[in-house]
Amino acid sequence: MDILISGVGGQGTVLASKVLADSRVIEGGRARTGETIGMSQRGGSVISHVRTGESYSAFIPVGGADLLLSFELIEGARNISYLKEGAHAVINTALINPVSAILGKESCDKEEIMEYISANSNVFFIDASKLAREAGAIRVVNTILIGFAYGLGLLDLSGESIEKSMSKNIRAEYLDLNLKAFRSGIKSAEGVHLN
Amino acid sequence: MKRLMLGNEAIAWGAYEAGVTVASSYPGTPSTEITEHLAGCDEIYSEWSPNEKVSMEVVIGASIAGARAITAMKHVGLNVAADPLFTVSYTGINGGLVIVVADDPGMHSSQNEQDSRHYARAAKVPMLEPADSQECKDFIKMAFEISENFDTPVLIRLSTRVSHSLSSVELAEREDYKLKGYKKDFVKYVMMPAMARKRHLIVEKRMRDLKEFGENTELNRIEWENRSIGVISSGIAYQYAREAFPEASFLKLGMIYPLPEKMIADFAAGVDKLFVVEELEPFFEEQIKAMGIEVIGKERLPVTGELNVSIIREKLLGEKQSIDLPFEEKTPMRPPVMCPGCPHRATFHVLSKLKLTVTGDIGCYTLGALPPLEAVDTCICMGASIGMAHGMEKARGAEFRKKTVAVIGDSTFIHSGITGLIDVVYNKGNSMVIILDNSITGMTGHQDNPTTGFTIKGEPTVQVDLVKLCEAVGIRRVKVVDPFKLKEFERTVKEEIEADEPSVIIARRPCALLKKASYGGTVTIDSDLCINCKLCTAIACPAILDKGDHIEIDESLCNGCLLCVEKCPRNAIVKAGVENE
Repeated sequence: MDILISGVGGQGTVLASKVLADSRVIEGGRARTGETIGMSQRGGSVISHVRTGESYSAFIPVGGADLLLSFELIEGARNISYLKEGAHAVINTALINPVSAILGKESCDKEEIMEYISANSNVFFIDASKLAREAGAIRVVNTILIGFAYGLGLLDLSGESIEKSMSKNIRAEYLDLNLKAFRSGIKSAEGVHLN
Repeated sequence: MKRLMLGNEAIAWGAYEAGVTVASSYPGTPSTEITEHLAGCDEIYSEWSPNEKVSMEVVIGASIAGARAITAMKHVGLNVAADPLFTVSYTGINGGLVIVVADDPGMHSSQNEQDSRHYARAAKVPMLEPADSQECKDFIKMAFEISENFDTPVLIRLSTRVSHSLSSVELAEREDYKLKGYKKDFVKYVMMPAMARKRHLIVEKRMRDLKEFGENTELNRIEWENRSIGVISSGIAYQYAREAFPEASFLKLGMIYPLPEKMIADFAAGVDKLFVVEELEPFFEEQIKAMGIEVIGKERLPVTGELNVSIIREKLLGEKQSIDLPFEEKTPMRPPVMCPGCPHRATFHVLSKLKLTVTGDIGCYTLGALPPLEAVDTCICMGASIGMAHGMEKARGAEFRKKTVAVIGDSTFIHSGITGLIDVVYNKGNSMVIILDNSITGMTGHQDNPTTGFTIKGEPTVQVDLVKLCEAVGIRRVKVVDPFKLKEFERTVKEEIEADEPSVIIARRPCALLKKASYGGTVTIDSDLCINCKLCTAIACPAILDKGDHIEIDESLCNGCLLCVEKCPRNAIVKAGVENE
């Protein structure tokens, strides 16, 4: 399964990709990831590729992803072309203004972006930022989205192995917060049906 | 036991298993995590040194003293370390010596995309290139064996995508490496003309022996499949090509210099059509063509940027990917920006306001070139800012100089700015230099350096005193100012730039991401006082949103640094929660 994770530097895409990849390894499978580390940490666009199963490179070709997880709305729109025909996207509705928009040089209309995403993918929107604040910290947007995607049945991983991977890859002091966020994401998916 | 690891972490594990005891590096994306992981091993002495040349010299010393030693750097770091590299190629080694160089095709975090493979050829040193994390670990161990068996330093070439990809690695025990004996041997280690002439002959023989070795080593392998297409490739390009041509035959090179010519000739003879797939330069292609073998490579594949599966399919198989999603083209770009609370924002706000010509340098503060600050005029390489400001003065005279300033970070100043400053003083220049002292090496993710007072392992050590250092080279005007005190900082810049002698301002404020920056709370707009003059937007903080008819603070981004409070002429920006006090 090929999962593309997108977001803004600082939102925890690298950690999310490690949690997913390691879940597969814990289950005895194969996984690899490709990360953006460096300049993009400074509030830039970030994507992480997670590939479980047979693949050579760590990078998903355009049109090759089975799932897009986006921690931010504009970054979701930017990466729709990675999705396979009919594949699902799970996208946080929270929008982080890029500097170009802050300066009034470019507009970014939330409605317009959401319409575009809906027209071009099989998308589930979720206000993960709101849920993250409710769970205790904005930085757990990543685990909320993983929980939501899992709850929808979009991840071919067991909940047990995801939680095991979280306890292995997340620092002890933040683990409970993240487990709570993961479960809150799962709960949000209750009653939502795959289209 | 199998573990998921970054390529860089696997390199460190390989060095650990090979019994390495000395590591010295300067941080540089995408190589930094290698040395950070090495520093986690108690058995390995690890250090951040002031620059890559010093790192290289430290590991050469360790090797001649009998230890297995390693250094890791980014591609442009090898330019800095090239001088010792070319001569340690002549002396050879005692304990195994491995030099890891991480290229950055696509320039994710670099100022150029030079191809380090040319260094192997130019310095006459063997080079290996792993394609995933397991190979990173395995190749490092083999590199130490090659180093000792052929009396040569060995280069390992990585690229961003290998360094920063996770894949599974099988771990093993650490080898109990015994320090080799040290013997004075000036014919081998003192490179004066008489000795170097003899050593050069030995180097030429060594490269012939290594070529022979390349024909038989498991580092290079042929994967026979369908013979209508054959592909020669290495590293991450091999992974892309394998995926693009699942049925083709492959010659996968692990030792990428010197090339196994006989193996290549045999492979070429066994396939109908031969492609060479390599990122950046036609390094293999030109050598293979020189052997008289027909190949298709850079006439179709780009020499710029990264490759990927889609590019290879399109350029070599003519399979055009048709994706028509117009909105993506116009989604607003999101370039990296200085963090909220970044001390550099204040510095560049002032320099931009004063309309100065700013020679810049390498670090987070290079972002000062981007809108809306647009303060930085140049960025060439580590340490360049000071020499360039001096050169501008010598070219255009005093009037221009009084409008010119060099900016350089604390770590970059130690790396190679200090020599530029000595040049200014010695040659009677009058440049003004601002050292952006944020108490850390920031861009690469918070590494200690000689000005922070701590070693790579976090142990307290002697701290370079920047004021005394500048004074010691002959600067009489050294001022230390907090750039967040905007008025005082601006006044100091104006004063110092007028001086008819060289001066240094140390703009001191810790990186906003450091714990000791200790900002708290957020700010908010007092709408009764705000007149929407938008002066606060001039500092270009990502947390300040211009909503047209009013200003808003994005509280999820604001970290309470209060720079905007300093900027606001109406005291309309206040700490959240205290509006009514």
